[in-house]
Amino acid sequence: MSKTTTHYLKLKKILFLGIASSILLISCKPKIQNIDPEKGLINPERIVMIGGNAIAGYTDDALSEDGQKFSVASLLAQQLQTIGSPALVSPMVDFSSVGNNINGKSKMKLGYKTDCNGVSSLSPIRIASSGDPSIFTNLFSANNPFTNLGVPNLKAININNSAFADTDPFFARLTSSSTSSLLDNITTLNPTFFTLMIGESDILDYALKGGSGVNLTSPVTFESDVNLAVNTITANGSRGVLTNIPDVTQYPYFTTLPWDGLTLSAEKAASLNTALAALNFGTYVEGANPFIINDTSAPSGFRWAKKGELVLLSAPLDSIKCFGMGSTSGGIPEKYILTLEEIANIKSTTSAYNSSLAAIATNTGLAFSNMNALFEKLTVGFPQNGVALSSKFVSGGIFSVDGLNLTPRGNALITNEIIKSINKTYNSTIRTLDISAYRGVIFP
Amino acid sequence: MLKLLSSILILLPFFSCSQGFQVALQGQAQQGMASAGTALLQDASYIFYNPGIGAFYNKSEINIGGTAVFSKILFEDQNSHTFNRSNSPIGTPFSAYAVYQRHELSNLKVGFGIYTPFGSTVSYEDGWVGRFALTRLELKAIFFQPTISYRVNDYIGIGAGLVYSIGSVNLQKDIPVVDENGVYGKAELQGKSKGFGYNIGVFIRASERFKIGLDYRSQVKMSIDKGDAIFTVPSGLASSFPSGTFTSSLPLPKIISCGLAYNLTEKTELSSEVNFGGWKSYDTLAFDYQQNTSSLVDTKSARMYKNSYVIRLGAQYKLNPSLSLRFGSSYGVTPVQNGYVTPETPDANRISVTTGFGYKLNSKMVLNMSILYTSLQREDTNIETQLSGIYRTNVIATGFSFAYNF
Repeated sequence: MSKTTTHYLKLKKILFLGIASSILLISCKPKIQNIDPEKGLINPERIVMIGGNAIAGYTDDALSEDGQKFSVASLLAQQLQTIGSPALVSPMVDFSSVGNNINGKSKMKLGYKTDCNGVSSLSPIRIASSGDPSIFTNLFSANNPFTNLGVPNLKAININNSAFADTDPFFARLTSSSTSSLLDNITTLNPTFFTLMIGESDILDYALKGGSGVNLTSPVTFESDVNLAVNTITANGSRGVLTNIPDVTQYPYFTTLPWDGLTLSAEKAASLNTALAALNFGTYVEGANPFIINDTSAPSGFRWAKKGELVLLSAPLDSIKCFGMGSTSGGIPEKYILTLEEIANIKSTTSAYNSSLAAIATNTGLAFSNMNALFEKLTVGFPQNGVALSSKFVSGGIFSVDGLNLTPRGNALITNEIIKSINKTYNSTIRTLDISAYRGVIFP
Repeated sequence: MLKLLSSILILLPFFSCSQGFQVALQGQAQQGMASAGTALLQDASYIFYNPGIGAFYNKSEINIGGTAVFSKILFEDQNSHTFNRSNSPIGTPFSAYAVYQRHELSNLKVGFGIYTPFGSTVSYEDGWVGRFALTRLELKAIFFQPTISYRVNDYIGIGAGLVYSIGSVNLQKDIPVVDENGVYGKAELQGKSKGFGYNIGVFIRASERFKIGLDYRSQVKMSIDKGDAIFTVPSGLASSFPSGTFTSSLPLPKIISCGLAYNLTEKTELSSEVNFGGWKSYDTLAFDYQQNTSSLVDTKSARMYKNSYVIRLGAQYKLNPSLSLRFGSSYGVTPVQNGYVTPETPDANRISVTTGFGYKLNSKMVLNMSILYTSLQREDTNIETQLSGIYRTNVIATGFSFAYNF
């Protein structure tokens, strides 16, 4: 054998070894080191979800299947399944349904709407001319009772109301009998673990009507109703989680339209100053000016809106834009306005509810999740997994197009907050959700 | 909305090679020895490692090589414990050097190098947790470096090269807005860049056995002027995300290297060096869009890199007159500070190990091969995106080169 041949053979051997070892190394991807979630002190045998809109999956101003799929109840139950809980049973609306709300309207989406000036812009619109009344049929089945007892607009005063099914079609569609209260439904299920989100609807009922013609549930009544419910549910040793409520005046429904949204040119301001001089509210200037709002306590029955007062998203924008509402032809009606006094009522009542909820959680050893703090943070906004989250209307990604209820992303965010408090209290390690996997508002 | 592009992160995909920042995959013989090439009188790769060496490299040579870089990243989201993998294509840095001296004892040597000191692509699987931070970053850069080396006396050689670089960048990420079909928006920024720099070095042959090398590779500022920003968003948002042009720039920091090489025996040579990387210059990544809207604002993202260093140790052993075996190991300190780790550079302090061989096919032709392996792990919560988790990365780089002497 020649010297060169030997060299080439050696070389071949070395090349072969080199290639073989590199293939070995290449196949060595980083390994997944996964640890199963632990249930800690939770008995996941029978779970029950109780609450209002977020638990029911009411969003885009209606109850519909795609809202229900991403309800806080669904998302939380999905994570609880990883520690052995059974699948959640929800009173599902058919996927083809346009949804329905208490006023017989369909769900909303973001679409194009042409205003009185002929300008087309993105705006919340109904997806159908009317809602789907068929969703209000009772779906209860004794063989497979609902463990999601979310009832849209649920107030604390209705938890133990045995006539609730007569007045509330959302409750009527899921209750075991027309004479059972929600609490009866809950106790029959004998939960080992429950979630209770209550209080928001007690506030919203007042806030959505601009504080007119309705009273806030008194904090004393609220406390005794929630106390009764929690004591009854926990009587058999059930564990669970209680949430407090956000300051609803931070919701985009109240924060999107400014109190000084009357935008004027210099000429227009001058002409208003002449036309409305007699009212003596103040001087109109070029740019932003306060709306005139109705206020029975004002000497003339109306006045300028004050800084900090809130114009509701329900306010008739065409009347304001084209027909002088809030300026030349009278004030914006009270039902579209939260005055400083009404806002103060909301805030003090919210804080009273939250004190009660915190005390009840402490007394019964329940986990307690601070939604109020979370929504406070959302007013400024923060990122998570590269997604900017805030309570800004539409672009914030958290609130649905109704400005009050949440998108799947919003529900995932509060579900995570609930999971964190559960883990803390019960030494469990339930995983939170990946926020980036849940959508915000759908754009056309 | 999306300060979005603010989190656009870029651009240091060099991470896939030796140190987070410093790609020294420019010569197979050196790579087998942990890329400790600053004081190594080895081959025409001196054009990259230290032009001063050329003064004592008594050959004319053409040297062509390439490396395949296999980089696998596994990301674990700290909150949801979702696992996602990278699916980056194989990186292929290459180098081609030609050096020439007129006669054997000439003091002057000229050379030319074409090499890709960074040029990899990082991409992650569809729908991954960090997709609103980054889905794909492709960075290509080719450096052209004419070089002169001059032997001052029997002990000292100096060399200098002018670097002209051309490159391209393509950055993609999803935008967290969704249409009726569940399709998310997408941003794609692409552009071409060019830059200038230099590479100067001194080589001291203190004795037959002991050599010292010093090299300074200047910063090269890669500027993108009139890159294309392409946004694919639901039609209702089209006016908020106007496609247009952007400008940006990325500093490739200066690298200062000090190396020592020592012939322990006739058959064994050791080489060591320290590289200092001037990464502090990468403090901000800015994007300036031609057309701004309330959703699309110019962004300035803090990068806050710190100056950093790598220590390299290598050895080669002449098994016989034809075959040399090489080993090496390096330790690099990451320039990426806590709070600033991004998906395109999930960099960490790291130990790399290398091996390789050189084989003389005949008196004129040499074949070299090298393999590098490193494994790193970095846990961080990025301040800007709040993407929080653990990146586990394995890198294997293996390559061949062929040198012809004349």
